Amino acid sequence: MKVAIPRFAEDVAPCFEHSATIAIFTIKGGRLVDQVDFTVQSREELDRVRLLRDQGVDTLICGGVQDVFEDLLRAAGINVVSWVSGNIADLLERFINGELVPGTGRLGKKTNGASSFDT
Amino acid sequence: MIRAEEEKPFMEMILNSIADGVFAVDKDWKITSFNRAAERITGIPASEAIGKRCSDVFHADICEWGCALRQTLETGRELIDLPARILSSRGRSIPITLSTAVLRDSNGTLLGAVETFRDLSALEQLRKEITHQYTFEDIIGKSKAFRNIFALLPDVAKSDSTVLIEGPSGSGKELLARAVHNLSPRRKRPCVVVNCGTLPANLFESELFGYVQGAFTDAKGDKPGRMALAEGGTIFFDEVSELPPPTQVKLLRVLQECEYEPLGGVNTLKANVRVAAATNQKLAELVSQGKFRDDLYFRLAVVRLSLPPLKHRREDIPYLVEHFIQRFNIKRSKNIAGVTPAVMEIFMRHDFPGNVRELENLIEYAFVLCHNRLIDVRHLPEDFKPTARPMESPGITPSESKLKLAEADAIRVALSRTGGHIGETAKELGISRTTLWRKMKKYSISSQNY
Repeated sequence: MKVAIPRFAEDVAPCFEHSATIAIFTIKGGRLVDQVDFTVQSREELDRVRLLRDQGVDTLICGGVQDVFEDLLRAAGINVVSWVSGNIADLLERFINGELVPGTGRLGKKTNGASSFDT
Repeated sequence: MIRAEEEKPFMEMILNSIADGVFAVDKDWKITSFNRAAERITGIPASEAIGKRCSDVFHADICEWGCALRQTLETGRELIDLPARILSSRGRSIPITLSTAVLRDSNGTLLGAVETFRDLSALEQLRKEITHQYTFEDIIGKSKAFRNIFALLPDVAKSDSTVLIEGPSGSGKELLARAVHNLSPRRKRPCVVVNCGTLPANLFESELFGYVQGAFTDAKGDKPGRMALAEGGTIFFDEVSELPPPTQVKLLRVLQECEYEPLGGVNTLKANVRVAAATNQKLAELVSQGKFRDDLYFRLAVVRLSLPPLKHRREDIPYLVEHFIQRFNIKRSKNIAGVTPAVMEIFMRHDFPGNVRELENLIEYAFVLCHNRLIDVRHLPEDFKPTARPMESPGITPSESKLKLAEADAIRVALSRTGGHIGETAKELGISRTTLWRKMKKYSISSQNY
């Protein structure tokens, strides 16, 4: 399976739409077997969706992401684990072990889905 | 004179009273202060933001490639009115302008930096209203029908193929067409709308292709047509099913040959436009009835996008309500937070024959009357007021069972769906007409109201 993570140095990038690098990892049998970094120069937001889809990415692990982008990615058949933060190697390990929980890096969001401060 | 121990709460009071977001970071980018406006704009309480890295709070576009605070900390220089975008806690992109400055103590030792930021969402929204620069962010929908459209959107936007958008009136066909244009490589060129329903057949040619001086009595100068105005961009034929047959032939030729001649002109012009069309009718059915040319239909329907009526995607109503409230808050300078559960219940039950436009109009109506934080039933038009609510209907008291309320409710919904037709309503409910009459009498429901 292929997992994409927008990267900022060794950490997941703060925002998927504006990340300059998207790393795509290939995982086989619970082990990381390949990694390719894509530099995203296009300012066209939909190019990121096309890139992931055309590269056959199964799951995107990302930090912040616009709600509507999540919809677009899911419509393209990509599983999204969003609003996480931290070191990429740790995130990947937790993902492989089935321990990665989406939303842990999302502030201001109560568990019932309502925002603490609705804007 | 303010004493030192009183200074901190005093400063906090000042910071919390201003409309712009203000926050401070230490030298490790950890947030040390976060005012009330920052909470409001981001949707994140100060208690959660303080101690976090600023990039984990703001998720800004400039975090990676042009962090303003980093520049200020490195150079010691103030930055003023930089444009940027941040993400709110609800996953919304918020346009801001920001300014930064370094923070030093009384000895001149560097403590960190401070940033002020201003929410420009209102300006952006108003600009969109004027310029119609809608993108996929403005397509509100999480239903299956919209997932299908979203799945096609990345490819449809990139291609140059003709797009046919089908959907009932008020379902958002023009918005979708504009979003497709604004996501396409042609987005820097115009998107010109031709409303086929209002354009007289005898003016179609001159309007679409333009004319040259002397083409007819009043043609005192050259006038470019809509095709020329849309050059390099998109031309959108709204209500294309309304085109009379002779005009359909003319449009077909443009689509086939990609060229046209202005009225009275001798030169043939090449058309470099993308064509989008919309209809509130099933064009394929009109073709089978001989009312629409099949060759034109196939030319138009290279990519077909279907927008369902709102009653078939009720799950999108809460999102649409939130969207319209946010929009009218900006347009009407109000601060309405939402609708009461009773209003949402009414919306969820209503069939919305006017689709999204009807919902938008309802919210706009309520905005005129509502001076509270929440839109309540009394702010809705008369048709939506208590008589339509089962809890307040005569014949039913609060002590009666929920089952009876649900029964009355089901009858009302079915009646509104059938336009008050007793036979069809009885059939839909699977009961006899006599039983329906009896139950309607029991719950004081009149078919005249539907």
